Amino acid sequence: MDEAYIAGVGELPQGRSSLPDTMALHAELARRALEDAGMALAQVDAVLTVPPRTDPYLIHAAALAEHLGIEPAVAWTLEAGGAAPMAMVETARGLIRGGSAATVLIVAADMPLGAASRDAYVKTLAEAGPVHPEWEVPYGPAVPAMFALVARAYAQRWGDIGAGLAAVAVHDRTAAAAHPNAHHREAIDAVAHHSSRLIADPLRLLDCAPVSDGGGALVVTATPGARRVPVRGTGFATGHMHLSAAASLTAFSAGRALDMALRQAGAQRRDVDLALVYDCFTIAMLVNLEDLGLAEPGQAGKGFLDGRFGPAGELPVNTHGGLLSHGHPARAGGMGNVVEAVVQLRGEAGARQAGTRRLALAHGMGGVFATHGVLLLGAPR
Amino acid sequence: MMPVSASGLLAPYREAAGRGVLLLPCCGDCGTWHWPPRAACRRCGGTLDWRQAGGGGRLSTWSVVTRAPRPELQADVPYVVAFVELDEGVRLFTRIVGTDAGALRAGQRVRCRFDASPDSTVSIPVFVVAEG
Repeated sequence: MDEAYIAGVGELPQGRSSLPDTMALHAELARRALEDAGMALAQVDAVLTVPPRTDPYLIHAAALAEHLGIEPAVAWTLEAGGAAPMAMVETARGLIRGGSAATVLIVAADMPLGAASRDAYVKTLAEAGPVHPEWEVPYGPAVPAMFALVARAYAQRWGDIGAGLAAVAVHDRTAAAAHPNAHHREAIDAVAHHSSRLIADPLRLLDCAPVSDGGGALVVTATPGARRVPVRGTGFATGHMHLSAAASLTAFSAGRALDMALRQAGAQRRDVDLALVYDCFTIAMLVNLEDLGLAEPGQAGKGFLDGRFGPAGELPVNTHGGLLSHGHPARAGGMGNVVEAVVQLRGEAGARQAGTRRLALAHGMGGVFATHGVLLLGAPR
Repeated sequence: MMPVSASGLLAPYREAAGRGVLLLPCCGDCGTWHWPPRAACRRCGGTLDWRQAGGGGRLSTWSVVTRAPRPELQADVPYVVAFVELDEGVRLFTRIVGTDAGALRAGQRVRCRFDASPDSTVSIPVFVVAEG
């Protein structure tokens, strides 16, 4: 028995936003999601947001409600890194189940390019990001270097990964070319990947997600409908906060989150027929797919090289281009995965539609493989 | 704003680093070494004390930072950040100094030494390659 449905989604082109500020971006995404749901702003009785890097409000969600001119029961801002969109959907489901709300507006958006300089954003990430202020920050780790440490450890274990990393970058870019909202749509190939400049050895520019303005919005409700996507299961896992405390440098806890979601959905891994995986770096795609149990350990790169994860493959992955090419809107990373899952399940993805999909996995990750959130979403009924 | 502080939970660690000594949390009950510091021993729940570590270990994984995340670190680039597996069985995030990144190999013996952190009054453990 499903208790919550995603009734509408809102998205804008990712990249540099022409909107005046982050609050205007939130408002426009909210408007689009409500319009998509065929619902009115007055119906919203709960607002959930993530804290954008650039906003100064004590309770960002309350500031958004105020800006929208509504007085909902709930206005909460969640801190869960790139797993926040999944945590927000779970929170919405809990509010609906408990009777505290009937129509939940979720907005995860950020504007690192428009509201601050890119360099200022990178500096913020390196100081207050996923690195520990006492054990890690004094050594000067740029965030890509933390993922590079995992990439080298993975290569030490499984052999040369250059072809696999390139295949992920090309896969995402090819998918993004068919998405009008994607940040980067110009074609690349493996040669372009290998010749892009080193950012944090062994990771190159095309191994890294861009810094994007963007994000998305969802409307969650208790009532089923023709275009409404049921939330069949949610799952979460927290392994560590800082990579220094991780038990392993090549395998993390995403699988535990998927196990939980599958139990709720009464489904098996083989029932998942679309996977939207958090891929802020190419190495994250490989490691997360393996940790989720959707590829054998050390074999995820092969799945991109042989087409298993292609749009017509056995398990289509990141049909929107992932964070790598669709975009990485700072604190709102992971929302694109949820929006794409909904659009694909409704069969409305146009040129990039991956056939008929029945059970989509949307995965989000906070920190450097630290926390994981998974949604299992079903086709509308 | 430089986050390295000589006070708080890490005060004994920082003080010892100033004298060129590496301290690590160690369980007073079962003797298990720990890093990073935690509230209690994860193995037995015992109380953690600071104990002197040998300072030797092996290089695990590393990367090269060519664009510093903070302006005060720009003078250091390129620099090598790394995880080192200490002989005590814990993994420490650090820098490898004195060896070009191209000459590094996984499993190389490394040895602790102390450098000024970006705050010159606070020393932090870094590692040098201890074999050819």
